Amino acid sequence: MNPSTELRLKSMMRAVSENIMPAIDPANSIAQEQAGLLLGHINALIQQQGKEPEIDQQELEALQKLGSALLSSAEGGEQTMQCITNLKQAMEGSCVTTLSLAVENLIIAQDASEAFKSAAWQPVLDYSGDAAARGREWFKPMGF
Amino acid sequence: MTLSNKTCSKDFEPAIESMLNDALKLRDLPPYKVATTPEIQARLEAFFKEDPSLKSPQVEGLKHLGGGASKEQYVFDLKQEGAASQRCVLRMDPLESAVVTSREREAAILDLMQGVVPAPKALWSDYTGEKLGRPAMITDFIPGVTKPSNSTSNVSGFGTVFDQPTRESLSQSFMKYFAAMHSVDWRNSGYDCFQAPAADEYQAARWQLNWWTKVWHDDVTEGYPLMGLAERWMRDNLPATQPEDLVFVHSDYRTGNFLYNEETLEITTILDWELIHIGDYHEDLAWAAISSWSTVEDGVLFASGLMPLEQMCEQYTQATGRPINKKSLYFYQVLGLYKCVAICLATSMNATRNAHNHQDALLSWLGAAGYTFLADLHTLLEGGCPE
Repeated sequence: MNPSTELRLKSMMRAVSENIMPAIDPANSIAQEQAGLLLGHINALIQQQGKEPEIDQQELEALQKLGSALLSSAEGGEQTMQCITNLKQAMEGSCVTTLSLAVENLIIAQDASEAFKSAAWQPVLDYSGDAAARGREWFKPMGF
Repeated sequence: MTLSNKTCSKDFEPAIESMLNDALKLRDLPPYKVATTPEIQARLEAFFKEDPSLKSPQVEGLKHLGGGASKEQYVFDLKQEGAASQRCVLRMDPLESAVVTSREREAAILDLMQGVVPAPKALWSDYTGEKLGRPAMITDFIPGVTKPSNSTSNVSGFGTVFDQPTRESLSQSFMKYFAAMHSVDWRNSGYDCFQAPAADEYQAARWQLNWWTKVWHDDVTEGYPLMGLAERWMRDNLPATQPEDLVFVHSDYRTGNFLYNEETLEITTILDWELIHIGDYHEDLAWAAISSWSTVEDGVLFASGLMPLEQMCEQYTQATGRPINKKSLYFYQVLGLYKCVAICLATSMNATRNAHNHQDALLSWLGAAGYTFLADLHTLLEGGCPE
């Protein structure tokens, strides 16, 4: 579409850097800082634009894989059994938030068996190493 | 002690539980409206006029400060008849921020630290926000910088690099004040806003774990399996703390949270005491060495950009006589990173979503740092606890 999202974002950057920032009182440190953050956010958005659905899909697939691995060994008391049920339901949908919370809740279930705790350790670490790397790559333009 | 008592997830420091539950009551309020500078000025002047010790008080040069991801801050000069002008800082709670903390506890610890370490002096307070609009505290202003003024770094002291002379001088002050801060006797503090985790030897770690898992579960907007794994591991591996090893833990003692004079290279003040609590001394050592505010040189991590963690621990032991237990240190490293993730990816995101902060753009920027902390937490858990 013309004008493209990228062009509009770039024009916002110019507006902030060339018109708005010079007009801010140099002594107004919070306004200066907020304007700088806007520039940083817009710059990151330019680099990320259009790619969010792809990264969300990667996250969903990775969580589904982890969820399946955990379900194959999950066992424990009443709380654990409820978490298993919730995770199975979440696995049927495609909501990353619901699924990620269901996975996390199963991991912390207080009556999980020692065998499950032990079996869950490496799959969660493997998933988490990839997920953290994916998050860091995604937010690289923000300098962390 | 039974296992269920040792790991009980419902055991909190009473003041902290109450503070966190009070914060939840703000959730459904409409977006936070940042007061204009004239509105703040009017509130301050009305506030000071009620103080009979001040003669014709006037507020001049009021400015809204940037920096900090937690509280709204203003600087101003308080003028009054027959007295020298006094530069002051107003620290005020927005509706929600990166962390929920208590101005009452912050003012109390600032009072206790006077004459012990350089710290701002709490001059006035309004803990309920009845007079200043939001819970607030007014301190004196102490000049200094958090990083070299000719340097660039990310928000909140992340990525600060000192040159060698600066590092050497600041390291000395940092360690001197580290020991002094931990020497303050919490048993005779005179303030009942702090409770000591003295019921059993695991309570210090348990209170911290429960504080931060509650923060995470109250604020979480998206699940992170690694946070579950860390919680699981910490609950199964609480370290013991003997009563004599309980100290006032600053909880955010690091580069970025002290000011120094660029000419003398002396620390002029230690800031951000809001997370103060009574706990295990390993907690502050572990926190000072978190990668995001440390540097790596030739493969060696310099805690807070000052010195290798091992050296920091040795100097701490020399100054205080307290030995370093590597398992305790590891536990608090895991807890420290867990806290950072909770602050960045849960509390900050929640405050931003609710438009309850004065600088949502900063909090949503800070969210991105959460993945760095997650990566560090992953590395730490994968490496395992030292034997």
